[in-house]
Amino acid sequence: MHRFANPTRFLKLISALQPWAMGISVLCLATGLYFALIVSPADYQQSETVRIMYVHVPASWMAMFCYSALAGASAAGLIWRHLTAFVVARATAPIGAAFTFLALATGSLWGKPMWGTWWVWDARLTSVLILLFLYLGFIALEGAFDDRSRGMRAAAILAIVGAVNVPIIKYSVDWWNTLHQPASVVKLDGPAIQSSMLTPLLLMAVGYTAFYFWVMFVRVRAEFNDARIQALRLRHSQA
Amino acid sequence: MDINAFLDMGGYGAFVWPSYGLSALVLIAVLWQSHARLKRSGAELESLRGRNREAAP
Repeated sequence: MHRFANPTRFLKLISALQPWAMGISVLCLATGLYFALIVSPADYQQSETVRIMYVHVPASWMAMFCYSALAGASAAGLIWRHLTAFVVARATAPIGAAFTFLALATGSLWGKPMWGTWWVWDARLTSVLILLFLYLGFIALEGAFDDRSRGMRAAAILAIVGAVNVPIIKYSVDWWNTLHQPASVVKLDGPAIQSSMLTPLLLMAVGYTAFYFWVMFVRVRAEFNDARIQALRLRHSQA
Repeated sequence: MDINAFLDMGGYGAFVWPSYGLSALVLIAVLWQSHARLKRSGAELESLRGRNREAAP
């Protein structure tokens, strides 16, 4: 891991991986959409609204995955003072915020026809809304200081403290009464979902994960460009 | 396949299609913004380097 804290080596690695992430993402999303919209059957209770699952569940998983990456990278940045880790955290935050927004919005569009309401203040929905605010707080705090490294450290601490929300989201459907259904895929005794629906779900999930890495790599490269621009400007002003 | 039945989504088209449309819109927007940033910063870096080479022959 520490080998890749070296920015040059890390940039080389992500530049090599980026076309793979793009390819896997495009391929899985294209086949996933075909299975989700055409091949997979309607649910016997939820009829066609079950198709919302194929965009809602992967977005929700990615909201949690990205936050774990954000908190992990923030911790690595604080502990080992690796700037590369902070760059990954900064690149991850807006992508995670987008996935969290999509989880909430598509959930709302699923909730209206199936629960009869766009929104309820129950544990699952509220804790995911808090997750969105944590992402937005991280982005705001990170850019709020003239001294960039101070802002980054403050935002990293927020990300680490906020990580307590991740298990709360995961277990909210077991700990509290909620309209939201409990986990049906990631379970100890195996998924409680038919393979005709599991196939598009997993394809979309892999597509979303590869999409995250693809966009994260692009953003990391832009961040490194910005850092070099700043260094060159500094040299200019001193010369 | 009947295209009208497909678009109707068993009467739930008004919920299914916005879910997919919004997902596509948001993800494409994030991707586009990130690529635009990379392109902009790359161009700026190149021009700065060019100026540096002129300044230090």
